Amino acid sequence: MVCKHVNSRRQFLRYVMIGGVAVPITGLGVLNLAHAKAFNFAADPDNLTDMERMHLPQITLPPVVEDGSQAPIQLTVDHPMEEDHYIKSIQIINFTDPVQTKGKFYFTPANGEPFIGTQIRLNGGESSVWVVAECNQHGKWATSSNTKVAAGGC
Amino acid sequence: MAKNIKPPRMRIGRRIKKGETFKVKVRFEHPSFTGLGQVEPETNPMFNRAVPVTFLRNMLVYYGDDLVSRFSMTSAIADNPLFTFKLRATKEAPVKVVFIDNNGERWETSGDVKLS
Repeated sequence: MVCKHVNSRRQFLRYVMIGGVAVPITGLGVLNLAHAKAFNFAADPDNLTDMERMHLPQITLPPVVEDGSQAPIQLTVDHPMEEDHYIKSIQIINFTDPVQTKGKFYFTPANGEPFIGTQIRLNGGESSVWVVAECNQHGKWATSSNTKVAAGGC
Repeated sequence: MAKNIKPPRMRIGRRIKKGETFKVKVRFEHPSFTGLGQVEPETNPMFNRAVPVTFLRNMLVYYGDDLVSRFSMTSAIADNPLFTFKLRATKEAPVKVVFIDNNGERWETSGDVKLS
């Protein structure tokens, strides 16, 4: 498998544009060129603004995954989840896998905290797992986490 | 029902205070195959459809009668997944989780929320 790495905002946007063709294979094709412009990223990851801290997803993913068929991942957003201001969804994507979209998790204010823990399949080699959180007032916020997978699980 | 599928199981914390969030864990022993394979990994690294795809497509979370969360998944979710999510404790009511796989089969599990 040819392994491509997505480490920058520019690369992410390029893949999102390609995703207009590739992602519908998964049946969850929600990313396309029109949406790509709407993504928010951390301008300075070491010095987040209040808005970025409130909306950027936090990813807990081991730096090395032994078994790519059982990669544990935890996602949370430090968001107040009020009745009129809440995280609508969190989506997990890895552009280098044959099945790029892992899942989309929809939340309501009744959740209290946008949190999900599960296990996903990742292809072997190095990859960047992207997570997109969507706020009902402030749009989509994307962040990524790098990992190395010893044995691919796709 | 396939032999290697077992009914889902739910765990809810015991000490839950009104207004606070609590964790719910749901384990479901259900296989998941992307169905993809590499015919010739050395010369042609492209994936193609090797076996029929099997996966959990949807997970619905009800708190009382309200649908509070919906998870749409693909075949890239692991075998026998353990899902952890949070809910805000607003009432004493059952939490029900419904799974639907890509063949339309349906399973559910539930647990009671008791406020302390």
